[in-house]
Amino acid sequence: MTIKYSQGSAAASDLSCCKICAQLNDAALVKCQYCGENISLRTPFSIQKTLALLLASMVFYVPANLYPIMNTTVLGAQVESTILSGILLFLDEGAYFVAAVIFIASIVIPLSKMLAIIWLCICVSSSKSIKHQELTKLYAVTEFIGKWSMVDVFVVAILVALIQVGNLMVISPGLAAISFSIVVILTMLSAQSFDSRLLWDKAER
Amino acid sequence: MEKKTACSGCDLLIELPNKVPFSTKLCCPRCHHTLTRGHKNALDYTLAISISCLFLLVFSLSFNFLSFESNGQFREIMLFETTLELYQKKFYFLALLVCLLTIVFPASYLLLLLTILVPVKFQTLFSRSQTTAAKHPIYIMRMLNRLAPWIMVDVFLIGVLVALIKMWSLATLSFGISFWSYVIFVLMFSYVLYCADQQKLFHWVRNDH
Repeated sequence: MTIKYSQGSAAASDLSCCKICAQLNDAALVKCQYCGENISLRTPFSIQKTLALLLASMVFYVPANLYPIMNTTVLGAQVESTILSGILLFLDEGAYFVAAVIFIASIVIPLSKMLAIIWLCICVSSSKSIKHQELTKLYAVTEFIGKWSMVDVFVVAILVALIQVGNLMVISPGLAAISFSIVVILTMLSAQSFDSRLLWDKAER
Repeated sequence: MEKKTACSGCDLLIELPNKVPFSTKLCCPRCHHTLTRGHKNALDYTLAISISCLFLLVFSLSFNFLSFESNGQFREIMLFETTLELYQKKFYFLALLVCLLTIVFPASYLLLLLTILVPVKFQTLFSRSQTTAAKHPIYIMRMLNRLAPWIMVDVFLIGVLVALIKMWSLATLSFGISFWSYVIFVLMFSYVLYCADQQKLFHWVRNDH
């Protein structure tokens, strides 16, 4: 098997860098000589792990959108709201800012993150040459925005705790809140298991 | 003395200067990944701010966080009640998640960070044996590295604001004293994460022994 590493990289000169302590080690070593962390030239099966976790998160994204995220009981009458119906409700009320915040946090960010990860995996595994700078930036953005989708879950948690007015008005979480938090966790793990060094091992377009 | 290392973003071999000038950013020349930032006195700053962060977190947990008033009904909640209420409604997973991401992870991050920084700062006070000194901070360093992406205090704060905007038309909501201390806690915590990057932590620990 011939793997070519990018010019000037540590791997090209038979050194592997520890991810925890940034110590350069001989490529033959399995554990970092300074901190004992498992090391490798490139994360083993990085693309496979990334795609597997991403696929799992996509599976959980379906119930996250279909089931209610919040159940509001006002005077005994129960109203179930999904992510999408919540946004539509705010649009009807004219609260465009809130609608936009929820729309971005719970629909735009997760979906674009999934697409970005798929695109990165396709680019790394294709035989064509790629654009390094753009894809690296894409990966950095994907990793950065990962945790911000959790906003929705926190909103539900706060509302559930705050709005408990006897029998007048009670809010309880729905199944979608659980699956949505799993989506966020899995996409974060997926982005973390992608090895950005692979991008630079490919030829520049 | 320059230290040879490789960029964690693209694996380019680089030589890090031993001293980074104040308020400059050290980036990888190839992929522009930020490696470390210069600071005048990062060790003292990080130490002081992490201790105040811990105090602020305890403060945030012990007073009322938000209050809610609608049609003569009044309710006050504390920070921990976000977890408690989910637990009582039998949403155990969500309760655990909220508790871990907003309270347990940041608190343990700060405590672990202090167990590294305090001995580094007061070397003479803690004359540890050589064998334990070599192993102990590395183990903690690894845990810090794993914990860092799972700290969501800033996301939680935005969540609070979104929840408030959502309820604006239905009820009168007001912030408790804990909320303000949590805001300061989040700002200070971001500063700790900004100051104590991996490069600096290892620089401190390596100089230690």
